[in-house]
Amino acid sequence: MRYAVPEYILRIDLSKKKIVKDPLPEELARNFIGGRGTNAKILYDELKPGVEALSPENILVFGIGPANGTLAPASGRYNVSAKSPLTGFFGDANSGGHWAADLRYCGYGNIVFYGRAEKPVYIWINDDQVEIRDARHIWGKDTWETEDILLGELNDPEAKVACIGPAGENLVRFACVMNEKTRAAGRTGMGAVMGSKNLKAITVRGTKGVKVADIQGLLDFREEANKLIATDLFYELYAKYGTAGLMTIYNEFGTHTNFNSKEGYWKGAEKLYGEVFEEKLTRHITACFSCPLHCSRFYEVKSGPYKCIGESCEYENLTAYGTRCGNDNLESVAYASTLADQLGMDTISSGATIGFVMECWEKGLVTKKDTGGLDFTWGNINTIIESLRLMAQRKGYGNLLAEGVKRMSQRIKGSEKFAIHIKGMETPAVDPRGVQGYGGLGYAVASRGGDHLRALAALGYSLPQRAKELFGTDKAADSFSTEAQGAVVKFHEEMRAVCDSLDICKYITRTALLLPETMAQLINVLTGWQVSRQEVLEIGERIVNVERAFNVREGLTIKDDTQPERMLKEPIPSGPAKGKVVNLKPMLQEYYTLRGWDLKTGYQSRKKLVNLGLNDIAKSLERMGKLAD
Amino acid sequence: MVKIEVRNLLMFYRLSGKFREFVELDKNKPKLRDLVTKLEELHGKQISDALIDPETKDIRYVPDVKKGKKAVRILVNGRMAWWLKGLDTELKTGDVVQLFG
Repeated sequence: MRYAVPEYILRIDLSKKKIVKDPLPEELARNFIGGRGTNAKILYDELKPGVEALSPENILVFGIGPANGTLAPASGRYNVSAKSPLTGFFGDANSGGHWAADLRYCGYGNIVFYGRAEKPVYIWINDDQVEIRDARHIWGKDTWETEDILLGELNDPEAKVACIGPAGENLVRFACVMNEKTRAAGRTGMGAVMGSKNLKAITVRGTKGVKVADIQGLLDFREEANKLIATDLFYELYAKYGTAGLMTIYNEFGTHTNFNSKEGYWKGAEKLYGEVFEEKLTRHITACFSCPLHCSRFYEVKSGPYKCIGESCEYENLTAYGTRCGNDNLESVAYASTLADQLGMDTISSGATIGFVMECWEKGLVTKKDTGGLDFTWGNINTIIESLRLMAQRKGYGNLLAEGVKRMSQRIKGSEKFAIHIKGMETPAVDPRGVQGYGGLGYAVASRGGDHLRALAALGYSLPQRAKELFGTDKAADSFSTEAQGAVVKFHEEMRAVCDSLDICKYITRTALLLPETMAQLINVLTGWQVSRQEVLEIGERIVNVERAFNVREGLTIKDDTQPERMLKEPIPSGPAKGKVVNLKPMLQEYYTLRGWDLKTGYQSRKKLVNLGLNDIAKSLERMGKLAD
Repeated sequence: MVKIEVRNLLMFYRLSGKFREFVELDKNKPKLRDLVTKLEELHGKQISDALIDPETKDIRYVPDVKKGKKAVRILVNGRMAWWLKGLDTELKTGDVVQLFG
């Protein structure tokens, strides 16, 4: 008897208008669980190396896992993966809400899209019924309009919509996929891949249930999990203040992104703190499917030029359109956040691109002649908002902004030193210089580029004693130390890969539920597999190595696992992390050694891949001359 | 007399009603535990109850799941007291103490 694992993979060839329903192999689930893990393996196996990311040859995969649609805590996530048009490497984004649960109730674990539709289309999945439908009437609409039109058309208010906005249609390199209006699969430009396929939306409605192996075991797990979550260090931060609470602590730690990473602490950021957001803008609390943490906020600016409503103006959004651009006006940041959701654009990358141009402007590298009249002085709110509109439409200077920081810096001489990206993806809100493992190493080696969520190495801060037990030194918990950070990041990467594959939320597993023995317990009550703690870690390591192999196949070497020059050479000038730079080399050496990756090339070893059961990948890399001994 | 800036973050903002306050301590070389005592005088026992584990008599680094007491942190100038001398960390005028939970 098979429990919890979805029954089918849906394959949709948009060029041929062909839909095939294949059984989801048990072995694929056992080795990669689901979600991010199965997406990665499908992409490695089916995508030809070297294809152009925005061509019909790219493959787009949506994936969910055995936790979705069950009482497992915060089990509302899904992953969408493809070769990234932003980085040229493994692209992957993760979103919450309720879309994933409905897909699970239809019985599908993955949807794989091939080719390109001749004209704009959307997909309607209603339990066993799957249709490719005409979307010409919604092409050009923003994500909120699209959802309203489709829900009216389907005449089912319980249906869920994942779609792209104008940014995806116009192939903005960091366009995202939006579901339920305000939930974003934000990073690496998956919305642009959807746009390149003329795929406007995927609507789902499922009514089937999910059978789990041990119902009482799952109820007991949930009860215990709720207690752990409610006493976690970060509980009140998320539950009362939402992720805006992270603005409070990271600026207070002096390791927050202000003025395109020129500063780690800025007093102006206080106007954007979680406490302020809660009092001024929060109207009510919302949550994703089955989540006891409820970190989302419905917000409202009631009047004035920034009048708006929205949901989930996250820490990253407050940074992107706020501190990163030297803007301390909370209402304007909320407005920009709503606008980005409607346009379907990643807030981190779009805000980072604007912040980058503001520093170019300050240094005289960009003038009004270049920008079509836009004034990129720090904190210019009108420019921030107008830039978002222009980049989503690729109009005027927006056509260049839509390319992101890396490509812009290649065209603006002298800007490379403060181009804040890794592997072509703009880095997130926490400044890595004050958190050596979490940001310094974690961002540098992340498979999807400048990203905090591949490792999210937070255990040491929340449970320092546990970190000492796991990694053999209390320095493992010290954010300023490089000692043992290779082991810390490796451990966290493996656990995050498992969470993304189940597919549950990283905030729920930030610390309290992060440990492999806890995840083994959850996997076992869901599936009945009886995996051990060690097997959980091995599954995580297998997923990390498939993504690595994908990137190596696309040309990645050790040189790509690095930090922007500013992070390596320019100390944080003031605040609690004053004087810190990323000391990458010793951490990278430890990490590579533990991973079994070659320190000269960055290639994986045959032994490591074979030990993980990835013989097929070892053979394919060997044929390309990209396998270490 | 030593004057300290206290920033009550998140849970402590809820408990104290103030984001920032300046606290004077009547000692030449006060320690973090003296500040906790002073904050209890100012805001009541709810502050010290949240900050201090009565069994270890130390900062609540670890949650008490059975009693539903969550973990908290005290930072001195942005550095967790864990890496300093805990409650025995000496304070001087101008120091910023952040309470986080």
